[in-house]
Amino acid sequence: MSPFYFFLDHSDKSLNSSVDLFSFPSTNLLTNHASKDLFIHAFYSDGNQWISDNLGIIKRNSQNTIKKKDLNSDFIDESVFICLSDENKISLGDVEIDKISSFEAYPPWRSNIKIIGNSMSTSYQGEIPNSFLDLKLSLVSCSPMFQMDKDVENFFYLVNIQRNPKKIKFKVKIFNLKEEIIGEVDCFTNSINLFNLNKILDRKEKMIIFTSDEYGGIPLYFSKDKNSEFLSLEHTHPPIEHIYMGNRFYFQKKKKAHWFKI
Amino acid sequence: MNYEKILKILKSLRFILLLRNFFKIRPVTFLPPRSNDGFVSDFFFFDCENKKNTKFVVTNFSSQVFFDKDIKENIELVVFDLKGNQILNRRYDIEKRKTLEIDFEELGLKNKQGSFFIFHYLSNYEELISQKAYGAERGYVAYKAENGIWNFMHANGIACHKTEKGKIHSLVSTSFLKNKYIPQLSLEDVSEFSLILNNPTFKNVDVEVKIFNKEWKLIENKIKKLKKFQTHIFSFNSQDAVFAEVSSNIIFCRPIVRKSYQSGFDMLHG
Repeated sequence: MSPFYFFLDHSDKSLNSSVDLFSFPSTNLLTNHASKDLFIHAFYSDGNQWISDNLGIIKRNSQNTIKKKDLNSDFIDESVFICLSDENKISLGDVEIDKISSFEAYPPWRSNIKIIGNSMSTSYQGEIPNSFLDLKLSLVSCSPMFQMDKDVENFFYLVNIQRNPKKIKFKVKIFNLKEEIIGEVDCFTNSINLFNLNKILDRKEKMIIFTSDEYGGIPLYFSKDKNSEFLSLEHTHPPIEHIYMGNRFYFQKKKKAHWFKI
Repeated sequence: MNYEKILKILKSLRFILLLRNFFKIRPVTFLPPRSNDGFVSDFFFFDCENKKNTKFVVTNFSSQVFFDKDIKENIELVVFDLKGNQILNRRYDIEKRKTLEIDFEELGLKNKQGSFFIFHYLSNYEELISQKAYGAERGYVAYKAENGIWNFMHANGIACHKTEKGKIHSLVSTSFLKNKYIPQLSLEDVSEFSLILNNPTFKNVDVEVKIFNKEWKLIENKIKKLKKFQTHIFSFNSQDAVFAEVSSNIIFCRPIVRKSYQSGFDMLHG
Protein backbone atom coordinates (compact mmCIF):
# COMPACT_ATOMS: atom_id res chain seq x y z
CA MET A 1 0.00 0.00 0.00
CA SER A 2 1.26 3.48 -0.86
CA PRO A 3 1.30 6.41 1.56
CA PHE A 4 -1.97 8.33 1.81
CA TYR A 5 -2.84 11.33 -0.31
CA PHE A 6 -5.80 13.66 0.10
CA PHE A 7 -7.96 16.33 -1.46
CA LEU A 8 -7.68 19.87 -0.12
CA ASP A 9 -11.34 20.90 0.02
CA HIS A 10 -12.07 24.58 0.43
CA SER A 11 -15.05 26.61 1.58
CA ASP A 12 -14.72 28.70 -1.63
CA LYS A 13 -16.62 26.43 -4.00
CA SER A 14 -14.98 27.99 -7.05
CA LEU A 15 -11.82 26.13 -5.97
CA ASN A 16 -11.24 22.50 -6.89
CA SER A 17 -8.73 19.93 -5.72
CA SER A 18 -6.85 17.09 -7.35
CA VAL A 19 -4.07 14.55 -6.79
CA ASP A 20 -1.51 13.36 -9.36
CA LEU A 21 -0.82 9.65 -8.78
CA PHE A 22 2.15 7.68 -10.09
CA SER A 23 2.67 3.93 -10.49
CA PHE A 24 6.44 4.34 -10.19
CA PRO A 25 8.79 6.08 -7.71
CA SER A 26 10.69 9.30 -8.44
CA THR A 27 14.00 7.46 -8.36
CA ASN A 28 15.33 3.97 -7.78
CA LEU A 29 18.39 5.37 -6.10
CA LEU A 30 18.20 3.50 -2.82
CA THR A 31 15.23 1.23 -3.29
CA ASN A 32 14.40 -0.82 -6.34
CA HIS A 33 10.80 -0.79 -7.47
CA ALA A 34 9.48 -2.46 -10.56
CA SER A 35 6.55 -0.43 -11.78
CA LYS A 36 3.30 -2.38 -12.04
CA ASP A 37 -0.45 -1.91 -12.39
CA LEU A 38 -1.93 -0.64 -9.14
CA PHE A 39 -5.43 -0.16 -7.80
CA ILE A 40 -6.52 3.33 -6.74
CA HIS A 41 -8.58 3.42 -3.56
CA ALA A 42 -10.54 6.35 -2.17
CA PHE A 43 -11.92 6.33 1.34
CA TYR A 44 -13.47 8.49 4.01
CA SER A 45 -14.68 8.04 7.55
CA ASP A 46 -18.39 8.46 8.33
CA GLY A 47 -17.44 8.66 12.03
CA ASN A 48 -18.06 4.97 12.65
CA GLN A 49 -16.40 3.14 9.79
CA TRP A 50 -14.20 3.64 6.75
CA ILE A 51 -16.16 3.83 3.49
CA SER A 52 -14.03 2.93 0.48
CA ASP A 53 -14.30 2.91 -3.27
CA ASN A 54 -12.07 1.28 -5.84
CA LEU A 55 -11.41 3.94 -8.48
CA GLY A 56 -9.82 1.55 -10.97
CA ILE A 57 -6.31 0.85 -12.10
CA ILE A 58 -3.30 3.02 -12.73
CA LYS A 59 -1.22 1.25 -15.38
CA ARG A 60 2.47 0.53 -14.90
CA ASN A 61 4.79 3.41 -15.82
CA SER A 62 1.92 5.84 -15.92
CA GLN A 63 0.25 8.67 -14.13
CA ASN A 64 -3.39 9.48 -13.29
CA THR A 65 -4.85 12.74 -12.09
CA ILE A 66 -7.94 12.37 -9.91
CA LYS A 67 -10.15 15.39 -9.31
CA LYS A 68 -12.33 15.54 -6.23
CA LYS A 69 -15.34 16.66 -8.25
CA ASP A 70 -15.16 13.45 -10.33
CA LEU A 71 -15.61 11.13 -7.33
CA ASN A 72 -18.89 9.36 -6.55
CA SER A 73 -21.49 11.78 -5.23
CA ASP A 74 -21.37 10.36 -1.66
CA PHE A 75 -17.63 11.24 -1.50
CA ILE A 76 -17.93 14.84 -2.64
CA ASP A 77 -18.66 16.45 0.75
CA GLU A 78 -16.35 14.18 2.74
CA SER A 79 -12.67 14.34 3.73
CA VAL A 80 -11.36 11.87 1.17
CA PHE A 81 -8.02 10.05 1.31
CA ILE A 82 -6.44 8.14 -1.55
CA CYS A 83 -3.93 5.31 -1.69
CA LEU A 84 -2.49 2.89 -4.24
CA SER A 85 -2.28 -0.85 -3.69
CA ASP A 86 -1.54 -4.19 -5.34
CA GLU A 87 -4.84 -5.40 -3.93
CA ASN A 88 -8.23 -4.56 -5.35
CA LYS A 89 -9.83 -4.22 -1.92
CA ILE A 90 -8.52 -2.45 1.16
CA SER A 91 -9.94 -2.39 4.64
CA LEU A 92 -8.16 0.44 6.40
CA GLY A 93 -9.02 -0.86 9.86
CA ASP A 94 -7.29 -4.19 9.20
CA VAL A 95 -4.42 -3.29 6.91
CA GLU A 96 -1.16 -4.75 8.14
CA ILE A 97 1.75 -2.37 8.37
CA ASP A 98 4.08 -4.84 6.62
CA LYS A 99 1.92 -4.43 3.51
CA ILE A 100 3.42 -0.98 3.11
CA SER A 101 6.98 -2.19 2.61
CA SER A 102 6.61 -2.52 -1.15
CA PHE A 103 6.16 1.26 -1.36
CA GLU A 104 8.99 2.30 0.90
CA ALA A 105 11.13 4.59 -1.15
CA TYR A 106 13.66 7.36 -0.72
CA PRO A 107 12.49 10.01 -1.20
CA PRO A 108 8.94 9.01 -0.22
CA TRP A 109 6.38 7.96 -2.86
CA ARG A 110 4.62 11.27 -3.36
CA SER A 111 1.63 12.77 -5.07
CA ASN A 112 1.16 16.27 -6.35
CA ILE A 113 -1.61 17.63 -4.14
CA LYS A 114 -3.24 20.58 -5.80
CA ILE A 115 -5.78 23.36 -5.31
CA ILE A 116 -7.21 24.54 -8.63
CA GLY A 117 -8.31 28.17 -8.88
CA ASN A 118 -10.02 30.22 -11.55
CA SER A 119 -6.89 30.96 -13.54
CA MET A 120 -4.04 29.22 -11.70
CA SER A 121 -3.35 26.24 -9.51
CA THR A 122 -1.03 25.74 -6.57
CA SER A 123 0.35 22.48 -5.29
CA TYR A 124 2.96 20.69 -3.24
CA GLN A 125 4.55 17.25 -3.30
CA GLY A 126 3.01 15.44 -0.37
CA GLU A 127 2.12 12.21 1.32
CA ILE A 128 1.01 10.94 4.72
CA PRO A 129 3.21 8.04 5.83
CA ASN A 130 1.23 4.87 6.61
CA SER A 131 2.85 4.76 10.02
CA PHE A 132 0.66 7.75 10.97
CA LEU A 133 -2.29 5.34 11.14
CA ASP A 134 -1.12 3.94 14.46
CA LEU A 135 1.22 6.59 15.86
CA LYS A 136 0.42 8.93 18.71
CA LEU A 137 1.20 12.19 16.94
CA SER A 138 1.44 15.75 18.15
CA LEU A 139 1.92 19.07 16.39
CA VAL A 140 4.37 21.99 16.50
CA SER A 141 4.24 23.93 13.23
CA CYS A 142 5.96 27.32 12.95
CA SER A 143 4.82 29.22 9.87
CA PRO A 144 5.73 32.57 8.34
CA MET A 145 3.59 31.68 5.31
CA PHE A 146 0.83 34.22 5.56
CA GLN A 147 0.35 37.58 3.92
CA MET A 148 -1.16 40.68 5.41
CA ASP A 149 -1.68 42.51 2.12
CA LYS A 150 -5.16 43.86 1.49
CA ASP A 151 -7.50 41.34 -0.14
CA VAL A 152 -5.34 38.30 0.67
CA GLU A 153 -6.97 35.51 2.65
CA ASN A 154 -4.82 33.08 4.64
CA PHE A 155 -5.87 29.56 5.59
CA PHE A 156 -4.53 26.77 7.77
CA TYR A 157 -5.16 23.12 6.87
CA LEU A 158 -4.49 20.29 9.29
CA VAL A 159 -4.86 16.90 7.64
CA ASN A 160 -5.24 14.01 10.05
CA ILE A 161 -5.79 10.31 9.46
CA GLN A 162 -5.97 7.52 12.06
CA ARG A 163 -6.77 3.84 11.81
CA ASN A 164 -9.67 4.32 14.24
CA PRO A 165 -12.51 5.72 12.05
CA LYS A 166 -14.01 7.81 14.86
CA LYS A 167 -13.87 11.57 14.33
CA ILE A 168 -12.41 12.78 17.60
CA LYS A 169 -12.32 16.49 18.40
CA PHE A 170 -9.00 17.99 19.53
CA LYS A 171 -7.67 21.47 20.17
CA VAL A 172 -4.93 23.26 18.28
CA LYS A 173 -3.47 26.29 20.06
CA ILE A 174 -2.05 29.21 18.11
CA PHE A 175 0.85 31.27 19.49
CA ASN A 176 2.95 34.21 18.36
CA LEU A 177 6.75 34.27 18.68
CA LYS A 178 6.46 35.96 22.07
CA GLU A 179 4.77 32.72 23.17
CA GLU A 180 1.45 34.51 23.72
CA ILE A 181 -1.63 32.54 22.80
CA ILE A 182 -3.48 34.30 19.98
CA GLY A 183 -6.11 31.74 19.12
CA GLU A 184 -7.42 28.21 19.41
CA VAL A 185 -9.27 26.02 16.91
CA ASP A 186 -11.10 22.69 17.15
CA CYS A 187 -9.92 20.00 14.74
CA PHE A 188 -11.14 16.46 14.10
CA THR A 189 -9.25 13.27 13.42
CA ASN A 190 -9.73 11.65 9.98
CA SER A 191 -10.51 15.04 8.51
CA ILE A 192 -9.20 17.76 6.23
CA ASN A 193 -9.51 20.59 8.79
CA LEU A 194 -9.58 24.10 7.33
CA PHE A 195 -9.51 27.51 9.08
CA ASN A 196 -9.45 31.08 7.84
CA LEU A 197 -6.60 32.77 9.72
CA ASN A 198 -7.43 36.36 8.87
CA LYS A 199 -9.64 36.75 11.92
CA ILE A 200 -6.78 35.96 14.29
CA LEU A 201 -3.80 37.31 12.37
CA ASP A 202 -2.30 40.53 13.57
CA ARG A 203 -0.34 42.74 11.18
CA LYS A 204 2.59 42.65 13.63
CA GLU A 205 2.95 38.86 13.63
CA LYS A 206 5.75 37.55 11.43
CA MET A 207 5.40 33.94 12.48
CA ILE A 208 2.69 31.91 14.13
CA ILE A 209 3.01 28.59 15.89
CA PHE A 210 0.33 25.89 15.85
CA THR A 211 0.56 23.28 18.59
CA SER A 212 -1.37 20.28 19.80
CA ASP A 213 -0.25 17.64 22.27
CA GLU A 214 -3.36 15.56 21.53
CA TYR A 215 -3.06 14.79 17.82
CA GLY A 216 -0.98 15.85 14.84
CA GLY A 217 -1.14 15.67 11.09
CA ILE A 218 0.09 17.53 8.04
CA PRO A 219 -0.05 21.34 8.55
CA LEU A 220 -0.52 23.30 5.31
CA TYR A 221 -0.72 27.01 4.67
CA PHE A 222 -2.80 28.33 1.80
CA SER A 223 -3.20 31.96 0.68
CA LYS A 224 -5.31 33.43 -2.09
CA ASP A 225 -6.50 36.77 -3.33
CA LYS A 226 -10.21 37.50 -3.16
CA ASN A 227 -10.79 36.46 -6.80
CA SER A 228 -8.80 33.23 -6.40
CA GLU A 229 -6.56 34.31 -9.27
CA PHE A 230 -3.33 34.09 -7.25
CA LEU A 231 -2.70 31.15 -4.94
CA SER A 232 0.05 29.83 -2.66
CA LEU A 233 0.31 26.48 -0.88
CA GLU A 234 3.09 24.92 1.19
CA HIS A 235 3.52 22.82 4.30
CA THR A 236 5.90 23.42 7.18
CA HIS A 237 8.68 20.99 7.95
CA PRO A 238 8.41 19.04 11.18
CA PRO A 239 10.94 20.39 13.74
CA ILE A 240 13.31 17.51 13.02
CA GLU A 241 13.99 18.85 9.51
CA HIS A 242 15.83 21.88 10.88
CA ILE A 243 18.51 19.58 12.28
CA TYR A 244 21.02 17.74 10.09
CA MET A 245 22.47 14.40 11.22
CA GLY A 246 23.04 13.32 14.85
CA ASN A 247 20.32 12.91 17.42
CA ARG A 248 17.63 14.88 15.61
CA PHE A 249 14.82 13.52 17.77
CA TYR A 250 16.49 14.98 20.87
CA PHE A 251 15.86 18.49 19.49
CA GLN A 252 12.37 17.69 18.21
CA LYS A 253 11.40 16.31 21.61
CA LYS A 254 12.85 19.37 23.34
CA LYS A 255 11.00 21.78 21.07
CA LYS A 256 7.69 20.01 21.51
CA ALA A 257 8.12 19.79 25.28
CA HIS A 258 8.74 23.54 25.38
CA TRP A 259 5.63 24.49 23.43
CA PHE A 260 3.36 21.98 25.16
CA LYS A 261 4.13 23.31 28.63
CA ILE A 262 3.03 26.88 27.77
CA MET B 1 33.95 -4.73 19.06
CA ASN B 2 31.87 -7.08 16.94
CA TYR B 3 32.00 -7.47 13.17
CA GLU B 4 28.76 -5.51 12.56
CA LYS B 5 30.06 -2.48 14.49
CA ILE B 6 33.36 -2.52 12.60
CA LEU B 7 31.48 -2.74 9.29
CA LYS B 8 29.25 0.18 10.31
CA ILE B 9 32.27 2.36 11.14
CA LEU B 10 34.04 1.38 7.92
CA LYS B 11 30.93 2.15 5.83
CA SER B 12 30.69 5.63 7.33
CA LEU B 13 34.32 6.61 6.67
CA ARG B 14 34.42 9.60 4.34
CA PHE B 15 36.66 7.84 1.84
CA ILE B 16 34.33 4.82 1.74
CA LEU B 17 31.27 7.09 1.37
CA LEU B 18 32.89 8.85 -1.60
CA LEU B 19 33.79 5.50 -3.14
CA ARG B 20 30.23 4.20 -2.65
CA ASN B 21 28.88 7.34 -4.27
CA PHE B 22 31.35 7.30 -7.13
CA PHE B 23 30.17 3.87 -8.22
CA LYS B 24 26.59 4.29 -6.91
CA ILE B 25 26.89 1.29 -4.57
CA ARG B 26 24.39 2.00 -1.80
CA PRO B 27 25.07 5.73 -2.25
CA VAL B 28 24.39 8.39 0.36
CA THR B 29 22.58 11.48 -0.87
CA PHE B 30 24.31 13.95 1.47
CA LEU B 31 27.71 13.81 3.17
CA PRO B 32 28.67 14.66 6.78
CA PRO B 33 30.33 18.08 7.38
CA ARG B 34 34.08 18.19 7.98
CA SER B 35 33.96 19.96 11.34
CA ASN B 36 31.71 19.50 14.34
CA ASP B 37 30.43 23.09 14.49
CA GLY B 38 29.07 25.42 11.79
CA PHE B 39 25.73 25.37 10.00
CA VAL B 40 24.08 23.77 6.98
CA SER B 41 22.08 25.52 4.27
CA ASP B 42 20.07 24.62 1.20
CA PHE B 43 21.06 26.36 -2.07
CA PHE B 44 17.91 28.43 -2.57
CA PHE B 45 16.82 29.91 -5.90
CA PHE B 46 15.98 33.61 -6.27
CA ASP B 47 14.39 35.41 -9.20
CA CYS B 48 14.10 39.19 -9.57
CA GLU B 49 13.91 39.23 -13.36
CA ASN B 50 11.08 40.95 -15.28
CA LYS B 51 9.53 42.60 -12.23
CA LYS B 52 9.48 39.35 -10.27
CA ASN B 53 10.72 39.42 -6.69
CA THR B 54 11.89 36.94 -4.07
CA LYS B 55 11.87 37.08 -0.30
CA PHE B 56 13.26 34.80 2.35
CA VAL B 57 12.00 34.54 5.89
CA VAL B 58 14.76 33.70 8.37
CA THR B 59 13.90 32.66 11.90
CA ASN B 60 16.28 32.87 14.82
CA PHE B 61 17.44 29.24 15.02
CA SER B 62 18.29 29.41 18.73
CA SER B 63 14.66 30.24 19.52
CA GLN B 64 13.71 26.92 17.93
CA VAL B 65 15.96 24.69 20.02
CA PHE B 66 17.77 26.48 22.86
CA PHE B 67 14.91 27.81 24.93
CA ASP B 68 16.91 27.90 28.15
CA LYS B 69 20.19 29.35 26.83
CA ASP B 70 21.25 32.88 25.96
CA ILE B 71 22.82 32.27 22.56
CA LYS B 72 23.73 35.13 20.24
CA GLU B 73 23.12 34.56 16.59
CA ASN B 74 23.89 36.18 13.26
CA ILE B 75 23.40 35.01 9.71
CA GLU B 76 25.42 35.26 6.52
CA LEU B 77 23.62 35.59 3.20
CA VAL B 78 25.79 34.55 0.24
CA VAL B 79 24.28 35.19 -3.19
CA PHE B 80 25.45 33.87 -6.57
CA ASP B 81 24.27 34.86 -10.05
CA LEU B 82 23.22 32.35 -12.73
CA LYS B 83 26.86 31.89 -13.78
CA GLY B 84 27.94 30.99 -10.26
CA ASN B 85 29.70 34.28 -9.50
CA GLN B 86 29.29 35.56 -5.95
CA ILE B 87 27.46 38.88 -6.21
CA LEU B 88 26.57 39.63 -2.61
CA ASN B 89 27.64 38.74 0.91
CA ARG B 90 25.81 40.30 3.82
CA ARG B 91 25.64 39.73 7.56
CA TYR B 92 22.59 40.29 9.73
CA ASP B 93 22.13 40.03 13.49
CA ILE B 94 19.00 38.15 14.39
CA GLU B 95 17.56 38.44 17.86
CA LYS B 96 15.94 35.66 19.81
CA ARG B 97 12.23 35.19 19.01
CA LYS B 98 12.53 37.37 15.92
CA THR B 99 12.28 36.73 12.22
CA LEU B 100 14.06 38.57 9.45
CA GLU B 101 12.50 39.13 6.06
CA ILE B 102 15.05 39.53 3.26
CA ASP B 103 13.63 41.24 0.17
CA PHE B 104 15.93 40.50 -2.77
CA GLU B 105 14.88 43.48 -4.86
CA GLU B 106 15.79 45.77 -1.95
CA LEU B 107 19.26 44.20 -1.93
CA GLY B 108 19.88 45.74 -5.34
CA LEU B 109 19.30 42.46 -7.17
CA LYS B 110 16.64 43.77 -9.54
CA ASN B 111 16.68 41.85 -12.85
CA LYS B 112 19.03 39.23 -11.41
CA GLN B 113 18.52 35.51 -10.91
CA GLY B 114 20.61 32.89 -9.18
CA SER B 115 20.94 30.96 -5.94
CA PHE B 116 21.90 31.73 -2.35
CA PHE B 117 22.91 30.25 0.98
CA ILE B 118 21.86 31.31 4.49
CA PHE B 119 24.30 30.23 7.20
CA HIS B 120 23.55 30.88 10.87
CA TYR B 121 26.41 31.44 13.32
CA LEU B 122 25.81 30.77 16.99
CA SER B 123 27.81 31.94 20.00
CA ASN B 124 27.58 28.41 21.39
CA TYR B 125 27.36 25.07 19.56
CA GLU B 126 27.86 22.88 22.64
CA GLU B 127 24.45 21.26 22.69
CA LEU B 128 24.44 20.58 18.95
CA ILE B 129 27.94 19.09 19.17
CA SER B 130 26.95 16.93 22.13
CA GLN B 131 24.22 15.41 19.93
CA LYS B 132 26.53 15.20 16.86
CA ALA B 133 24.01 17.38 15.05
CA TYR B 134 24.02 20.55 12.93
CA GLY B 135 21.45 23.28 12.52
CA ALA B 136 20.03 23.43 9.00
CA GLU B 137 18.46 26.38 7.18
CA ARG B 138 15.57 24.73 5.37
CA GLY B 139 13.25 27.67 5.55
CA TYR B 140 10.76 29.42 3.44
CA VAL B 141 11.36 31.33 0.25
CA ALA B 142 8.58 33.19 -1.56
CA TYR B 143 8.30 34.34 -5.16
CA LYS B 144 6.08 36.99 -6.62
CA ALA B 145 5.16 38.36 -10.04
CA GLU B 146 4.48 42.08 -10.38
CA ASN B 147 0.79 41.91 -9.46
CA GLY B 148 0.57 38.57 -7.70
CA ILE B 149 0.71 37.40 -4.11
CA TRP B 150 3.75 35.68 -2.60
CA ASN B 151 4.00 32.02 -3.61
CA PHE B 152 5.79 30.12 -0.82
CA MET B 153 8.09 27.13 -1.12
CA HIS B 154 10.20 25.43 1.53
CA ALA B 155 13.79 24.30 1.07
CA ASN B 156 14.51 21.69 -1.57
CA GLY B 157 17.24 19.82 0.29
CA ILE B 158 20.62 20.03 1.97
CA ALA B 159 23.45 21.69 0.06
CA CYS B 160 26.48 23.12 1.89
CA HIS B 161 28.11 23.57 5.29
CA LYS B 162 30.09 26.52 6.62
CA THR B 163 31.71 27.59 9.86
CA GLU B 164 31.85 31.29 10.71
CA LYS B 165 35.46 31.73 9.65
CA GLY B 166 35.70 28.75 7.33
CA LYS B 167 34.92 28.18 3.68
CA ILE B 168 31.78 26.76 2.12
CA HIS B 169 31.91 22.95 1.81
CA SER B 170 29.49 20.97 -0.30
CA LEU B 171 27.54 18.13 1.29
CA VAL B 172 25.96 17.04 -1.98
CA SER B 173 26.96 13.62 -3.27
CA THR B 174 28.05 13.14 -6.85
CA SER B 175 28.81 10.05 -8.84
CA PHE B 176 30.77 9.00 -11.89
CA LEU B 177 27.49 7.44 -13.04
CA LYS B 178 24.29 9.36 -13.75
CA ASN B 179 21.18 9.11 -11.66
CA LYS B 180 17.63 9.72 -12.86
CA TYR B 181 14.89 11.55 -11.02
CA ILE B 182 11.29 11.89 -12.22
CA PRO B 183 9.19 14.29 -10.12
CA GLN B 184 5.87 12.70 -9.19
CA LEU B 185 3.84 15.50 -10.71
CA SER B 186 2.10 15.92 -14.04
CA LEU B 187 2.87 18.80 -16.40
CA GLU B 188 -0.40 18.23 -18.24
CA ASP B 189 -2.17 21.30 -16.79
CA VAL B 190 0.31 23.84 -18.22
CA SER B 191 2.08 24.45 -21.49
CA GLU B 192 4.77 26.77 -20.09
CA PHE B 193 6.95 25.41 -17.33
CA SER B 194 10.55 25.42 -16.08
CA LEU B 195 12.73 23.04 -14.15
CA ILE B 196 15.28 25.00 -12.13
CA LEU B 197 18.50 23.27 -11.14
CA ASN B 198 21.61 24.55 -9.43
CA ASN B 199 24.98 23.04 -8.63
CA PRO B 200 25.98 23.31 -4.96
CA THR B 201 29.15 21.26 -5.54
CA PHE B 202 32.69 22.28 -6.49
CA LYS B 203 32.68 20.01 -9.53
CA ASN B 204 31.29 20.57 -13.00
CA VAL B 205 28.15 18.47 -13.30
CA ASP B 206 26.12 17.47 -16.35
CA VAL B 207 22.36 17.91 -16.11
CA GLU B 208 19.94 16.67 -18.73
CA VAL B 209 16.21 17.32 -18.65
CA LYS B 210 13.92 15.24 -20.85
CA ILE B 211 10.25 15.99 -21.36
CA PHE B 212 7.86 13.19 -22.32
CA ASN B 213 4.20 12.95 -23.30
CA LYS B 214 1.71 10.56 -21.67
CA GLU B 215 2.96 7.64 -23.83
CA TRP B 216 6.60 8.35 -22.88
CA LYS B 217 7.39 9.73 -26.29
CA LEU B 218 10.28 12.19 -25.99
CA ILE B 219 9.13 15.74 -26.75
CA GLU B 220 12.29 17.67 -25.97
CA ASN B 221 15.56 17.34 -24.12
CA LYS B 222 18.06 19.95 -22.95
CA ILE B 223 21.56 19.41 -21.63
CA LYS B 224 23.67 21.81 -19.61
CA LYS B 225 27.01 21.57 -17.89
CA LEU B 226 26.74 23.39 -14.58
CA LYS B 227 29.85 24.83 -12.99
CA LYS B 228 30.30 25.42 -9.26
CA PHE B 229 27.32 27.35 -7.78
CA GLN B 230 25.81 27.89 -11.22
CA THR B 231 22.02 27.87 -11.72
CA HIS B 232 20.13 27.03 -14.90
CA ILE B 233 16.47 27.47 -15.74
CA PHE B 234 15.39 24.76 -18.18
CA SER B 235 12.29 26.33 -19.78
CA PHE B 236 9.82 24.47 -21.98
CA ASN B 237 6.67 25.19 -23.91
CA SER B 238 4.61 22.14 -24.80
CA GLN B 239 0.91 21.28 -24.84
CA ASP B 240 1.60 17.53 -24.53
CA ALA B 241 4.16 17.39 -21.74
CA VAL B 242 3.34 15.08 -18.83
CA PHE B 243 6.60 13.70 -17.43
CA ALA B 244 9.97 15.36 -16.78
CA GLU B 245 13.12 13.33 -16.16
CA VAL B 246 16.28 14.83 -14.68
CA SER B 247 19.52 12.99 -15.19
CA SER B 248 22.73 14.14 -13.48
CA ASN B 249 26.01 13.27 -11.78
CA ILE B 250 24.46 14.79 -8.66
CA ILE B 251 23.07 11.70 -6.99
CA PHE B 252 19.91 13.31 -5.68
CA CYS B 253 19.15 15.97 -8.27
CA ARG B 254 15.69 17.24 -7.44
CA PRO B 255 14.48 20.23 -9.44
CA ILE B 256 12.45 23.23 -8.44
CA VAL B 257 9.43 23.35 -10.74
CA ARG B 258 7.80 26.55 -11.96
CA LYS B 259 4.42 26.15 -13.65
CA SER B 260 3.08 29.18 -15.49
CA TYR B 261 -0.68 29.59 -15.45
CA GLN B 262 -2.95 32.22 -16.96
CA SER B 263 -2.79 34.60 -13.97
CA GLY B 264 0.43 33.66 -12.21
CA PHE B 265 3.09 31.03 -11.54
CA ASP B 266 3.39 28.30 -8.96
CA MET B 267 6.75 27.29 -7.51
CA LEU B 268 7.24 23.91 -5.90
CA HIS B 269 10.05 21.48 -5.26
CA GLY B 270 9.82 18.41 -7.45
